[in-house]
Order: sequence, then structure tokens, then C-alpha cells
Amino acid sequence: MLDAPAISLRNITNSFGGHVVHRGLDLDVRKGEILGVIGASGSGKSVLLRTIVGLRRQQAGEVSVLGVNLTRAPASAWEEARRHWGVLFQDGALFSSLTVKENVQAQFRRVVRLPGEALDELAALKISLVGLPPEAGNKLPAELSGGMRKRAGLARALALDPDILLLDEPTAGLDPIGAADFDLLIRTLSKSLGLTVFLVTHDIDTLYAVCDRVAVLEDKRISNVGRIEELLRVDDAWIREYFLGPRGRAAGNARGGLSAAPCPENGSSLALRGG
Amino acid sequence: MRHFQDSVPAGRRREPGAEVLDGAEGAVLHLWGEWSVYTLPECKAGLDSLLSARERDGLPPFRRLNLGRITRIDTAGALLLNNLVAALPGERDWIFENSGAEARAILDISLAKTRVPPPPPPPFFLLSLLNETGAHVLGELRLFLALLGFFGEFGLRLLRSLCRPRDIHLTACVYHMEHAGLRAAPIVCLLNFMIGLVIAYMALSSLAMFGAQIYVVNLLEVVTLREMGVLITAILVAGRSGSSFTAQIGVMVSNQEVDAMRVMGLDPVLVLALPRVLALVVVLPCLVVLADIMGLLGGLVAAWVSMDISPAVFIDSLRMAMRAKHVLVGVAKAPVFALVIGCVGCFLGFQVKGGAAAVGILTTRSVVESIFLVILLDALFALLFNMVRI
Repeated sequence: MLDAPAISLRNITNSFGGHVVHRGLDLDVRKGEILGVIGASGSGKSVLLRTIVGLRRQQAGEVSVLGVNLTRAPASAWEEARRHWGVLFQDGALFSSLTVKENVQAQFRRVVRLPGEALDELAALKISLVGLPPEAGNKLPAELSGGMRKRAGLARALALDPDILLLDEPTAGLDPIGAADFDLLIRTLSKSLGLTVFLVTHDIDTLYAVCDRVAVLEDKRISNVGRIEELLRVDDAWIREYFLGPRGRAAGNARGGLSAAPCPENGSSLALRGG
Repeated sequence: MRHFQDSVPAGRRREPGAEVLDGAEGAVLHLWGEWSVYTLPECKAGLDSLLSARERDGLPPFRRLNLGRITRIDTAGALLLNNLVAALPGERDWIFENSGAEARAILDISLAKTRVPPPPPPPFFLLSLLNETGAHVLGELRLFLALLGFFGEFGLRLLRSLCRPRDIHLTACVYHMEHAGLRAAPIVCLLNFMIGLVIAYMALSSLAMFGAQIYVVNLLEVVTLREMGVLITAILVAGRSGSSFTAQIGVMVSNQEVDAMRVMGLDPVLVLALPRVLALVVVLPCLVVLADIMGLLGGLVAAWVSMDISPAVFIDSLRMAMRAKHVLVGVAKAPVFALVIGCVGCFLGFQVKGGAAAVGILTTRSVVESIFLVILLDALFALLFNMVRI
């Protein structure tokens, strides 16, 4: 159990009507790693994420989270699994009628009865953890910028200290500075909290800055998994085009050769710009 | 700390606990079990009672913490411990015995806490009541003025496109005729049939007291043809098509489709509003004729079933009682109602600002306001026709 991968997908098949998205897809996400999933638009990256968290039922195959097979699991196993993961959807998916603070507290209210003071304190901790200014806690999602909404969504996802964080396009729609800040935030939080991160992205800079390994979703399955340097040695036209095309080359060069960026390991250095 | 907490099933979660043991270097607070958000109430209660008991007994405070037996600690538990450390008197040289690096990291992270300032207090309620009432009234007035403006804008487009009929999107017109008219026909028929039935029943039970059952025909003729047929149909169409106009156009606005049209030099009022409103203006009178027939049919059935007035007698006396002007008055109101329903629906669609939430709010408003305006106009029509003695 202890050595089981954080997320294990076996032989997953997903199809919409006659259109097959995944066929015989296998993937393991190791504990404590940050795994990026890349693939062309429409290749089913988000569908994969939705399959893992049970928003979509796969036609065939098995999903295991932390060694527990969820495929034909009872509701109690799902309830337990939900305590172990946090999901950040593309635009934060904050509850629009609640303030940021209440959004975070909604997680606590779901599982435990706490006095208001403790709730406020916990929410404030989570809000500062993701680098939002304290005043943001009282704002409604509509009053925040896109970057701040994502941070608030991250605060909500982290509320119950999950082991696994699933992120859907965390940097899409952010300006480069905001995106770089968010990359750093994800890296710092995952290393200091020991999180396993499953990250769907299009952002090649995020791959270089954040991911320990990258999985390539191609031809309805995971064709390759490995560090970016390893992927570059694979003889695959799409991967080469992805990383060595004009945009990929620029991102790689910016990283000083093709090595991953240095990451701050110290959890207390969380002074990041808000939004 | 991640590795021993993993997949502990709910039933086997370790109960948290704490005790103070006196060691060689003074009192040490030992903690065990799970110190997480799930067990936070127990943790806090246990810790509080332990501390107050110690204070009551006059024992010295402890300065060491032993986390060695903790099975899981998360930021919520760490926050509790940090607060404990901060609240107790004495020098701040706490010693964490036997605690792993991960637990220390969690404790460190949880130190980075701030307070969300309390939301600003609401102003005095009378003041805010006055304020909100004023703002609401002004908002409504402004919206009404904008609606009048839209009527003008629409009228201008209508006149211009009548001069150049090629500007009218005929395909869209026919599409909306089908959706707002043809597809509404079954529900319009059913509803008016039932209304006719009910009116006739009610009237019959009163008229029977005077032995004047046959006059139910005269009553039905006035009520159904003049008022009920057109009113029920207009209200139904407002709820069915007016709201869908608002929703369709509202979604287009929030998708920036309308902006795209403007940039391309297409006129959104001409392209979106004109076909919808024209379709409604053509279709609503037809629906009213249908509604009139069904209403009378409902009355016929009611009279036949409850008072044994045969259909032949009913139709015969209907032929004698029926005056064309009642039908015409009813049908003549329909295009005006259609114009109002269509324009309000389209206008509110264009008022959408922001996301999907605004579409929902304005769709509701569209139904409420168009029904309100229809009934208001109906009352005005009644006054008008009364004055000119039609």
C-alpha cells in the first residue's frame, strides 16, 4: 500500500459516441512527483483528469488512487478518496455567490463542525499560503482578476491538505509574470507540503519550470513518460515538434539549456506576488 | 508526514491525544494520534482541558513538545499547535522533541498566517433601505428609458428594412415563426381549451339558478374572444418565447458574438431582434385565432357534459350571439402584445453584462416585465375601446 503510486490508470478506454478518446491508456503518477500531461488540443487531457476524479466514468479500465481501486468501489471509498485530492479547474470554478473566504471554508464545513473563529483562522492561513493578500478573502470571485481567481481556487483545493493536487491548465489565460509566479507557487507548495501533482497544461514554460516528469498523450494513449531531457531523446515527430518547434525552443533556451529550473525547497519562503 | 498518513481508512483513523509527562528537563507535552482538520474539534477540546487542569493544579507550564507519536499532522493541526505556543506565557524557546522534519515544515508553513480583515459593517439599516430603494427606482427608470430607446431603434430599423426588404433575414424569420408559433400551438390549444372549460362550468352553475344556462354562450363569446384568448396566449408566449429571446441574445452577448457582429459591420438589432420580433408579430394573431376556437370548444364541452346542452344548440346560439367585433378586438391586440413581448425579450438580452449569471437574472426579468406590460396594455385597451364604444 505504501509503495502504491498516487494515481494509477490501467487500460483506460473513453469514448463519446463513436469517437474514441482513450484506448488502453496506462499511466502511473508516483508519490510526491509533479507530472505534467501534454497532448494536442482535443486529445483528451481534461477528459483524463475528469476520469480520475470520477466526473466521468470510463468505458473500460481501472483507476486507482493511493492504492485503492475506485472502479467498482463503494461510495465510502470515493468519499475517502475525495479527502485525498484537491482539484483546480481552469478558471478556478469558485462558487460565485460566496466570497473567497467562504469558498475555502465550504471545504471545512463539508467534513467537520468548527467554530467560526477557527474557520476564519484556517481560511486566512490557506489564503496567505497561495499568496493572496488578506483583503481578498472578503471579495466575491467576480471582483478578482483571473490570476487571483486561480489562486483562490488553489486555496480551496488545498483546504483539507490533500495528498494529490489535480490542476487543469493552471496557467492558461495568465500574463507571463502571473504565470511564472503561479508556476513557482505550485512548485513550492508541492515540495513543502509533499504533494503529488497531476497537471494538465499547454504551457511549455510550466513544463520546464514545474514538472518532474512529463507524460505525452498521443494516439489515444500515453506514448511516453519521462523527464523532458529523456523525452527529447525519443524519436517521435510530435514530441520533437512540441519541444523543438519555435515556441518550445524559446522556452527551453530561456531555461539555460534544457535543464529544469532550480526550485526553492524552503517552505517558509512563500512571499509571492498576489495575482 | 505524507507517507504514514496515506490511505488510512476512515474507521482506523487514530484518535488524537495529549498528556504532560515530567522528564529530566522539565515537563514535556506529548501528543499522539491524528492532528488534522478532521480531528480538530477533539484536538482543541483535549488540549484546552489539559491546559486548564494543569493551571488549576498550579503546575508549572511546559516548554517542550514531543510530536514523536503523531501519526498525521496537517496545516490545521499545526495552526492549533502554533497558537498554543504563541498563547502560553514564558520565553519562546520551545523545543520540539522527536519531531520529524516534515512535521516541522508543516509547523513552519502554518506560521505564515495572516488575518482576513472583517468585512466592512453594513450601514445603518434605515439609511441602506432608503439608499437601496432610491437606487432601485432610479435603475428601473433608467431601464425603462433605455427600453423606450430600444423601441425607437427597433422602429427605425423596421422602417428602413421595409424600404429595403432585402435587409430582412427571412430564413431567421421563418425559423422563429416555427419555434415561437407552430411549436407553441399544442400548449396554447390545451391551455385555452381548459380555460374555456373552467369559465363555462363556473358560469353555468350560476346561470342555472335563473334557468338561463343557454346564456353561457353569450358570456363565453365576450370573455373568450375579447379577453381570455389573447391574454392567455400572450402570457404563454411571453413565458415561452420572450424568455428564450433574452437567453439566446444574452448568451451571444456574453460570448462576445454581438461584439463580433458590430466589428464586422452587422447590425445586431437588425440581425437578431428584427426577425424575432417580426416572427412574433405574425405568429401571435394566428395563435390567438386558434386559442379562440379552443376556448369556445372548451365551453361547448362543459355545457354538453354538465348541462346537457347539445353541441348543435350551442353552435346555433353561438351563431346568433357572436359579433365580429369581439373577435377583431381580440386579434387586433395580438400584434401589439407581440411587439412588446419581442422587444422586451430582445432588449433585455442586449442588456447582459458579464457572465452566465446575468443571463439567468435577465431572463427572469424578461418574463416578469413582458407579462406586466401585456396586462397593463390590455387594461389600457379596455379603456380605449370603452371610450370609442367598440
